Amino acid sequence: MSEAIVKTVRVPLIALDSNLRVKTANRSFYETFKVRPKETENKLLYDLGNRQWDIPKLRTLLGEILPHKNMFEDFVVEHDFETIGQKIMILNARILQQGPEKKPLILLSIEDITERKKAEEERRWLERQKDEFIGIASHELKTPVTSIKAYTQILQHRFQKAGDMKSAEMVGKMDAQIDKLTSLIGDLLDVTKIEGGKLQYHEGPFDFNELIGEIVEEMQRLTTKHTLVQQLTKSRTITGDRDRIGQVITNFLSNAIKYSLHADTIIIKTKTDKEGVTLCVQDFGCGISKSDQEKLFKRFSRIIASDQKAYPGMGLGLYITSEIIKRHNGKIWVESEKGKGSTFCFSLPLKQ
Amino acid sequence: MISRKKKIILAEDNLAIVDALTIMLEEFGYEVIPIVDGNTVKDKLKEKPDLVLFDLWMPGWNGRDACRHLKSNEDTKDIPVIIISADRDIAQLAKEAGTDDFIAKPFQIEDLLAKVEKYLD
Ligand SMILES: Nc1ncnc2c1ncn2[C@@H]1O[C@H](COP(=O)(O)OP(=O)(O)OP(=O)(O)O)[C@@H](O)[C@H]1O
Ligand SMILES: [Mg+2]
Repeated sequence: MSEAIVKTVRVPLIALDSNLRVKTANRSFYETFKVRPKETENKLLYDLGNRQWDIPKLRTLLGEILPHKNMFEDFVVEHDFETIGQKIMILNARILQQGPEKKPLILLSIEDITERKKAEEERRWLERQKDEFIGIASHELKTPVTSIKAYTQILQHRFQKAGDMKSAEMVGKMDAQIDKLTSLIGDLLDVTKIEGGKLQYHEGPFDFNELIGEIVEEMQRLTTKHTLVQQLTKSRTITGDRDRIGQVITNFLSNAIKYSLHADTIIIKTKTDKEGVTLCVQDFGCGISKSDQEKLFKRFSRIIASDQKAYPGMGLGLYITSEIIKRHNGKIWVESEKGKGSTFCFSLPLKQ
Repeated sequence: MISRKKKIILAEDNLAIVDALTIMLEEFGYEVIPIVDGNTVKDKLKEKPDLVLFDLWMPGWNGRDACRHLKSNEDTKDIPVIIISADRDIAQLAKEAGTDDFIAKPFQIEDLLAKVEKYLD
């Protein structure tokens, strides 16, 4: 019976008697360790192939742990073999009682995971490289942007002083474009950090409505088309990362402005109850179909509508937003009807 | 009344940023001592600046240690220090380094001037 078991299994497997003499081994074992049955069967395990199986850890496993527990599982052993070089293996063993005399038979499987381990390390290394690269790239991008922005603002100041308002206005527009670039770089950096689990949160108590007020005021300055209407309930103090929650509100508002080109009102509503606060941003723009709503919060997801050319973007805003809300133990959702508008909401618990 | 121009040490390794910031600060009536190499900061401190503005990370310069040095030294501990950095976690870094204030890169000219003024009045 043991013979049949050993032969059917695809992982390298050998059967040993209680003296650790090889009874049989399967094809996979011979192939993996480049040995022949003739020089293997009926030999003592530790004597095989120039004693290359005389591995201290294996001695401990077979000599001490196995007799004690009748089995061992998933032991990783690394060993430099004379014939096949450095290998990483996972060892599993069981003792079976055989025949009427209940002769013990040791089944030892030796899975070669060297390649898998290498591939995994390679993958992890690449992942780290990628994270590092995007991190450095974003940082490096900010440096020239900083000087461009500084020069731009000096120019604007000079034009204003000289009374050349037309030029000052143009340079002001340049400055606004630089800000857009900055926020794109910031988003890229955030995504990198989220992926690497390295986005830092600095928590503290802050007044919810005050934050909303600040952001609405700032966003109102950026749109002449829309009126941002605040319908806020009594404010609460919440604990969280003020800047990051501000980033969430900014994202909702900038989307609402961007995706409701032909509407003129955006409503910011809050609700408070025992559990927490809820904020919703409602627009009367293009809306999102039911099937598309599920994809919104995924990374890089953008709804490519027939009128897609009108809406530039990287599809990162809502992904970052939902990650921030998740980290605050909050919820995020959307209600929308195609052609009528959308309402994006998040809620945060008062106690984290 | 003749008032002495306020002196600002500006330590930053990016030449374009140093150039732009120097123009900007001079235009608003400050005297700027630009430094692009962290090692010379300590020397320049002898010129008794009214304020130090520096990038947290530059070659030959550990912003955090430098700030601690400034703040623990009797002669320099009262000089206001503002760090400028592109790091998003700049607020935290500023706190750790014990600086008086911080400005994130890229910055709005008004924000920078407001902070500088705040410490020089
Ligand atoms: N208020 C809204 N109305 C209609 N569609 C929206 C609205 N907000 C988001 N969407 C849809 O969800 C998609 C994802 O939004 P998200 O903010 O993540 O990315 P984006 O706006 O395309 O780019 P960016 O990364 O610059 O924010 C958008 O491409 C858009 O199709
Ligand atoms: Mg967006």
